[in-house]
Parts: sequence; C-alpha cells; structure tokens
Amino acid sequence: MNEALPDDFDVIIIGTGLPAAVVSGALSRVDKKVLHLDRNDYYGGSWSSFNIKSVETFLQNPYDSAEYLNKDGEETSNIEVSEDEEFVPILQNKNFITKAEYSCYLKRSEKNEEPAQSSSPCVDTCQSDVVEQSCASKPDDSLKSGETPISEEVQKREESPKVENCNDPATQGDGDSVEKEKELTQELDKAKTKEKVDVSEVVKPRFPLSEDFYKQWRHYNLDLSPKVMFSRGLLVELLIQSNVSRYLEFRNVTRTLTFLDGSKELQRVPCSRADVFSSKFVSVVEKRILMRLFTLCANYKDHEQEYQNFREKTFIEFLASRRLSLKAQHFVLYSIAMVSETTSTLDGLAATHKFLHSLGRYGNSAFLWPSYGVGEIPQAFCRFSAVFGGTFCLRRYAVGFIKDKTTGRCTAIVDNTGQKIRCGTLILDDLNLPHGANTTSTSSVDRAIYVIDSTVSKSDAEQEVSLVTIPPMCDNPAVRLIEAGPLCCVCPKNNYYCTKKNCEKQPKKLPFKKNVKNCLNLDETNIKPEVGGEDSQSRKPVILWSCHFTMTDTNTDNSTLPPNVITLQGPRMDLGFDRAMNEAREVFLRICPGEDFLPRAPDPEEIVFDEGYNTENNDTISPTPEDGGGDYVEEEEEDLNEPAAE
Amino acid sequence: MNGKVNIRKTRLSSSISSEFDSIFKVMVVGDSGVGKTCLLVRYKDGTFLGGNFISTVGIDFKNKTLVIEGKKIKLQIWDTAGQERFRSMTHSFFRDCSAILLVYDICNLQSFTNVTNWISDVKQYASPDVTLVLIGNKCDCTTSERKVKLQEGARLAKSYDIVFLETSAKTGVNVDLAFDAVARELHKKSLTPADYIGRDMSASQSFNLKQYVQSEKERTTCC
Repeated sequence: MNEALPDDFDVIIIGTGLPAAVVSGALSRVDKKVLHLDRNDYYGGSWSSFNIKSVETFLQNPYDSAEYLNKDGEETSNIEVSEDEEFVPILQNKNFITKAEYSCYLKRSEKNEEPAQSSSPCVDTCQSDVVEQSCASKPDDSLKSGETPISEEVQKREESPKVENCNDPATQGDGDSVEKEKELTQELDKAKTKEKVDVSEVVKPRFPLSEDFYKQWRHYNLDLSPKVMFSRGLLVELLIQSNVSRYLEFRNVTRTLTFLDGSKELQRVPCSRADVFSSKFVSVVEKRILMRLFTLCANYKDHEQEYQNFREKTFIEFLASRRLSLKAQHFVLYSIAMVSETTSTLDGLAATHKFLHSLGRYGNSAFLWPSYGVGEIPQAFCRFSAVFGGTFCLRRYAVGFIKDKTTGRCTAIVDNTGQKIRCGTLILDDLNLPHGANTTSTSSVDRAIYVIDSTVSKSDAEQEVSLVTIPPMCDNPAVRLIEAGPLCCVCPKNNYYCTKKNCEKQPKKLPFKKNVKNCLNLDETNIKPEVGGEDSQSRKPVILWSCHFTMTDTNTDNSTLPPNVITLQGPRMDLGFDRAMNEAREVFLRICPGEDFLPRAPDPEEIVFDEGYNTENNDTISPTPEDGGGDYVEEEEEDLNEPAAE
Repeated sequence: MNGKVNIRKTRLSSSISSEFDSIFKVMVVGDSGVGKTCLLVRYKDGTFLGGNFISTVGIDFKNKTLVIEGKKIKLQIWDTAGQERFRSMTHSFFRDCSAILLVYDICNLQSFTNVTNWISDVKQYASPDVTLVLIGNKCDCTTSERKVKLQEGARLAKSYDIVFLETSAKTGVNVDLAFDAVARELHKKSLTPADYIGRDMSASQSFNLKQYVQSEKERTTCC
C-alpha cells in the first residue's frame, strides 16, 4: 500500500515514541494539520512493548535494513533539489539498542529434538552484537521433557507466588556485582486457584516445554522502556485533563520492596502512615521519627528552618540528623526518594515530597502501571491525534529533508517512496537523526527482561506490580526492578516478567546480570526435571526466558539544525514520565505559542450529528471545555499519605 | 472491576455500573470510504451522514445500550479514526474488543479484495474468540454501480466461517440488525453456567448468530 500521502502539512512528525505521540495529539487537538510517520510497522519506537515473538525478532535485528545512505556514506538514490535547496539525509539511530540477546531456557519436546542439538537442546541464544554468553549454565539436557500434554501444562506449571527469596547463601557472592539501576518487571502468572488444586494432586513436570511457552507468545507485553507513573505526575494529570485516559487501563503498583543491608530477604518498604504503623521492621520509636519526617517532607517548603543547615549537605546527612536509624534511612533514601547517597538535601526533600504527594491518590500506592505495558501510552496519544484529524502512516519514513539555503529553514521532507511532502515544522524522535548534526550519547541503560515462574517475594495478597530497589553496593548504583504479574495483562498466567534497568555509562555487563540473578535468586539452571509435587512453598523463582540489551540515549544538538526542525529525546532511565511530558509541552508551545496544551476532548455523547451534517459546519462537534469541570472531579481516595501533625 | 484503576472518573464509573449489566467493545473496520462511520452514526443516531463528510474526524466511539432478555447491554462501538487509510491502525485498538464488523463497499472491488488483509490483521492482533461479521455496505446502490455480487460476499464469509450481510447506511437496511445480532451473540457468549441456574435461558442458549441474521435479514433490493 504505497498510496501517495497528502503533500502539505503544518507539522510532520517522524517516529511514534511517547513525546512525539503526545506532541502529535496536542497539535491535532488544536487543528494543526499533522502527518505522523514511523518506519516500523508498530507504534512506539523506543517506548514499545512487544510480545515474545516480536521482541525476539526485534532483538535479532533492531534496525531496518533500508537505509538512505549506504555503508560508504553514499546516497543510494537521487533526490532532486533545486539550486537554492539542500538535501539533508535523516538516518536511523543505530546506537539505540546494542548488546541484545535473548534466551529461552525451556526444553523442547523430545520428538522434535534433532540429534545435532541435543547438546544444548533448551537454549536458544541470539546475540546480535556482542559476545556475551548469557547462559553460562544450560539446562541439563538429560532433563526429561514432559510427557504430559503440553497446552495444559503451561497453565499448570507453577502455582504462582511462592518463593522465598534470596535465602541462597550463594547470593551476592561478588561484591562488585551490584551495579545498576534496573527495573525488573515480572509478571507473575497466577492462575492460582486452578493451579493450586492441580499441583497438589497431580505429579507433573514443573516446567513447560518451550513449544508450550511460545504458544502463549501473544500474551506477553514486554516493555523496552519500563516506567511507572507517579499518581500525581504530569502524565496522569495530562491523561485526565485531555480524556486520553479513556484508551487506557491502569493497575496499582501494590508494593515497594527492598533489600536491607546485610539482609537477603526482600522487605516491604513502609510508605504511608498505615504502612509505617503496621510494619514490623520499624520499631515504635522509629515509627514516630518516620512519621515526623513524612510530615515535614509533605510541606517542606513551609519549614525551611528544619533543614536550613543542611542546604549544602547531602540528603542522607539530613536524614541521619533526624535520628533515623540506618534501616529507616535506607527506606527513605532508596525506596521513597529513590535518590543516591550524593543527592543534596533539597533534591532529596523534593523527591520525597513528590512520592508522598502521589501516595494514596489511587489506592495505597504512589504509582500506577499501564495495563498491557508502557507501549500502550504512545498508542493512546496517536489514536487521539488520529481522532482529531492527524494522518498516520506506518512503514513510511523520511529519508531526508529539504532545506532552503536562503532562509535556512526546512521546507519539506522526502519520504521513502520518493514523495516530497511540504511541512512548516519537522519533528524527529530519538530514532531518527539528521545527517551531520552533532549527537552525543548522554546515558546508557542496561536492561533485562526475565520471564519467571513465580513472584520474587511471596505475600498473602495477590500483587499486581511490585517495585524493587536493590541498593547500591561497592560504588555501583542501585538496581531497580519492576515485577508485574498477570493481572497487568503483560504475561500469561503463571509467568512473571522482570525488567531491570541500569544507569551506568560504562556498563559492566556480566556483573550486572549476575547481580540481579543472585539477588533475586533467579536462576535458569533451576530448570530441572523436578515434579510439581515437591515442596513448592520454598521454591525460588526460575527464569524461563530472558533478554538483555543496552539502550543508549542520544542527544542531538539542535543548534546546527534549521530552526523549524526539532528533535526529541529517548526514554532515558528516569522512573517516571515527567521529563518526557515536559519536553512534549515545550515542543508544543514552541510551535503553537499560547495555545492550550491538550485541552479536554469531548465525550462521545457530546458529539451529535444532524441530518445533512457536513464538515463545513463542524461547530457542532466542538468541545466545550468549560462544562468539563462539573462532572470531572475525580473522586479521590482518602489521602493516606497526608501525615497528620503530631 | 478486579482492581483496575480508572484514573478518569472514579465517581462516574461506579455509578455507571448500575446503568448496564455488561459492556462490550465493538470495532468497525474496513477500507477508507466504505461507510464505517456512516453505519455507526446511522445505528446510534438514526441519521445518515451525507454530503461531503469525507473522512473521520472527531468520532472516537459511540455508546449504545440495548436490552436483551432483560439485560442491559452496552455496546461501545469504535471507529477507526482514519488510521485505516494507510493501514496504520494502532494495535491496541484491537485489544479487548469482543466483536469486529468488517465492512467493504459493494461498489468498490478493491475494498472487497482487501477484506483478506483486514482478516489477517484481526487474526494477528485481536483475541482469537472475537465475533466477526462481514458487511457489504451501500446496498442502496444501483445495479450498474454494484461491483461485488451478493453471492461473492456470501462465499467469502463462508470461507472464513463468519456471518455476512449487506447493509445500507443511507436507507438503514439491516444496520440495526447487524449491531443487534452482534449484541445478542456477545450476550450469549458472556453467559456462564451460573447464569442458567433457575432461569429459562433456553432462548440465549440456542441463539445462533447465523440463523438469527438469516431469519431477520431484510431483502436487499438489488441482488
């Protein structure tokens, strides 16, 4: 379908990452004529979520083979431009995913097993860039694979949340191992009720065959850039304000976990007043101290005298001065403020305030998680843009843009079919780089995604999403991990998946992996022909499938570009979405100064068509933002975080 | 429901649950210009979008509540928002939808040929047990305008084992039937064995989408 596109737009956007999608929606909403292209056949770019099949395809080859410039930098096709114009190629950002690899640790069924593969029958390893052998220990091939009917087995394989975490003495063997910030999203499959029954009475191989695992490919939604939403963050406010939230569903991040120094068990971080009072890890004295601190942080701007002397000092020094125990300092620093030991007092207070402010708006939690993964969010904004007239075309991209030599401005793009399309402004997301522009890599993040068979930390209540902080050790930054269970529609029953994130510029590959595996006691070597009847309560989670990759953020120096060409940043490593939302707003205001940024869209009931309606008199569908106020008040849950002054 | 967080209108959503017994998401897909939006507006508002209404702007979805066997069924009918034009539908659009109306224009052969492409998209992104209905729209056209015979549509539908009917958004022929049949089918699918206890649900139990459409179908004028 290479149908010609219309050839004149106010704004052309290349790439459908989150900031690009938000800008697109905002521009369409105020009647700008927007063309939005993406070279992929999916939305979201570096913000996408993939199922198991598509993530494997993606990791094998993250980049499109089609390139305007060949290896020697020569143009592969001729673009005709007039004398006073210059053609500037736009290239794929080929630095964004590196060191990608994935492995499935499950065994294939015997009858399909070819003799040649028998030495490592269960491991599919793909390495696209780097020589890193991920599966140091492959599952013993003497495993007997299931003689059980498979499809059933996937359902039954584990009952979900059991697992004692990290009791393994082997854990944390190497001190240098902890390094990064990771997010581990795990999805836990729990078809609990059904399974528990099955497991107790039927003896079955514990693990599915890889065929059965792959049969469920479409039930996974694995994020390239896992993030959680602060309940009062900019994204949530924007979704509410614009009505884009009608395309999305959310889940609560139901708990925050961390390792305390020396402990090998994950402990729940007390965040709200209720948590503090019920936590058994905090003494009575500590409870009072913590509550006083929360009270201060909630209104820290009004109580400058309390931290006046710590303006030049670090947050941790401030915490120590409040007589917080080491344990409580740890909770606050790494799991609530989520900052490092070098963070200043003011930044730490601001971060704590942000967390406390979000707490309790939706349940006893400061965060929300989008069902089906982060990749839903850019799609929601793209849909919104389309509803307001944005033109969308996937598998189409700009090979370059045309710059007027006299004005220095971009006048048009040339798409991959050779069509010239005029535009007033050109926006490029982080995966499209103008040739010749200065780019710098600002940060690189190591991430891993694990599909595991049970939760990292068992609890009585079924957990939806867990945020786990692994504190820094030996000069290595903290690792952050998100575990999402099957309730979040990111994995089928009985699996979890984990994504971890690491913020080091020079990632130390191996230790990172080793570290996470150790800390969580995740181990693919545990896939042994054990049967389900054994003591499942003490079992550790087992990795069924994993992938690792490094994501590098690229910054483009806008000063060398025409003033009407704007570049956007990638997902970065921040936990929330505020930076991306601020960026989108700035770009929007740069193009439409003074306009409303994503005003409320009308509900379907407000759009009424009369007989003979035509596009000329579309006043009838114009939204009436002012009447949105009334029914628009969210009913908020009780603010558990509002610490009462003692 | 089940821990999902609706960040938009907590208050509204709780009050809404009393307004209907179940809600289903229905999508209308098909090539540009086959009359998807017109079908939707005809069904919801009983009017025809004539004139120069060209592409879909501003229509996101429409809600229609109907009563089937005493149950209030709310259909949330989603339009493609013009993203079908370059075959660039957001995939999340297909998620969670219970039924898909796949529309072609009987005066446009290409739109009929492309039905196969749409079906492959549906297979890839939609749930495997989605209810699919094939619709040949614009059956108010004259014989000379018609490019796809009724039998051709029926044959294609048969090959995919799906229900087929011709409609006209302009005159309203079979439009209500198409959506109502979908609603009945979804209602039937949603019943659990518990729903049958102590109730005479034989009508729902025996409901057959194809037979229902067959018996209720209005003759299209030019076949």
